[in-house]
Amino acid sequence: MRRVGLLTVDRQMRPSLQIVSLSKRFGHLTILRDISLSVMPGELVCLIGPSGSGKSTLLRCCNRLEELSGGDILIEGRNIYSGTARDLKTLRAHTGMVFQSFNLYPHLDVLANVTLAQRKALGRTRKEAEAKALDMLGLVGLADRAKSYPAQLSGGQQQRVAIARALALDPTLMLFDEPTSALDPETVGSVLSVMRNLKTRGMTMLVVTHEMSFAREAADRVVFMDGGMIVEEGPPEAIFGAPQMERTQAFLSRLSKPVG
Amino acid sequence: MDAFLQQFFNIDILMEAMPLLMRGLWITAQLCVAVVGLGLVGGLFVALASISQRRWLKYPAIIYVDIFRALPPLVLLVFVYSGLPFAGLNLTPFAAVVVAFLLNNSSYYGEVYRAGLQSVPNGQREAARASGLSETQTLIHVILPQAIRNVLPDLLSNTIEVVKLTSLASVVSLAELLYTANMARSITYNATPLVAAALIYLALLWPLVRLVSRYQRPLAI
Ligand SMILES: Nc1ncnc2c1ncn2[C@@H]1O[C@H](COP(=O)(O)OP(=O)(O)O)[C@@H](O)[C@H]1O
Ligand SMILES: [Mg+2]
Repeated sequence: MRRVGLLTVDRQMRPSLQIVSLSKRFGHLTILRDISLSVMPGELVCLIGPSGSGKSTLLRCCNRLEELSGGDILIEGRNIYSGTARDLKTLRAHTGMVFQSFNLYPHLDVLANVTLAQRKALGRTRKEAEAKALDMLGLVGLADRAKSYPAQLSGGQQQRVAIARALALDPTLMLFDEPTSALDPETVGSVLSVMRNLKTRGMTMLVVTHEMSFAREAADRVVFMDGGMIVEEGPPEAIFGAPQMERTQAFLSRLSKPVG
Repeated sequence: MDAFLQQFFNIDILMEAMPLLMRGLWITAQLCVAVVGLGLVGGLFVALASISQRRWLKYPAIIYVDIFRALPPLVLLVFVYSGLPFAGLNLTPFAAVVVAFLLNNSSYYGEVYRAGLQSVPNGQREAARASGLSETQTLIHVILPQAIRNVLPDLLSNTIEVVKLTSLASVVSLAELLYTANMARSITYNATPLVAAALIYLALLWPLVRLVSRYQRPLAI
């Protein structure tokens, strides 16, 4: 019994995502330098920083949509930059990715959007995939829109479908790249509340966001990036309440200035 | 007026020429299926090669498209049929027509597909790849359906051109519709078979032309 207990503890202590001195260059341009970051199971980490600081590139590396120039990324303890194409397929399926522009497939209805990768990447039957899809659509509050096409949905609804599409693949980790930046203000709330709900269900999440109120209230940890580096990280109270670095202070004070 | 009808709309002549015309139409139909079918498939591969990241695929494909769009199809046909035998390659008239028009036609279809493939936003590919679909699955289930839908009118227009092109096959004595009609004319000393052939082409292509016009109304997004 004790052994099993220890093993469980062991597993829980292993980060879901572990980025080790990652660097990324495009040609001669260094976009990310010496990034190290871990996300523990069940943790919600918000990544903030000015545009162009490399946040999207970092997320794309976690799904191997980019090749690294240096360093390593481990997901559930497995190095994602070694291994076969087959490993990569499952890795990608089990690492959910949500994009700023939703990227739903416009030629497929909502149900087909959510079942496609389940069937083609994970090999589930149509019946299994549809049952799972309806479950996930229920979770994001859109079970009744299964037969709609993306163009018939609001931005917020489309983003929730995109979240359901990723969740249907049983991810151990969800990556969000500015999930609410392309939304009308009135639909932002519905997406954020889905994300909060995921957190209470124990989902591990790495979220790039400009919604500082969301980061402040929902994140376990906030990471501030600038110029391709992690400048500062810590609990939201610390980052927002008493930022230590000058660049963080400058970024946050620019944000809090009234708009217009 | 009567003489005019006698020369152009002579029912007796038409009846006499009909079996011959039908045989010609059958050859034309076979040609169309072969040339359009192979062109649609070949064009897709040409397009995929021409947008490939691999230079050894991309540049040959671009050169291929340039050459075979620039060469007049009739020149190409005569060369394949009468020129290649000098290299020891003898093709039947049917095979020569298929080869010559495929070279021409896959370049045109290729350019249409290429425009279609490039019209699909990159985010679509990213999302599909990020969810674990392979490159091929992404192409088949995500990219191609959107690409083809975006260029359907152009694919149809090109298909109309290809059908008309098959009438050039008469120069290598392939007994397709125009060839048999012309033969019937020279036997009967009457233009009615040619009028009949023209009407048959019209009946074949008019629905397609209509369809293209309908599609080419501004597309709702
Ligand atoms: N494929 C690419 N080739 C060259 N430069 C790129 C590429 N992708 C991103 N970049 C550059 O990397 C930098 C970081 O971009 P990005 O990761 O999108 O930042 P963020 O998401 O923080 O706004 C930008 O300067 C951008 O121009
Ligand atoms: Mg970005």
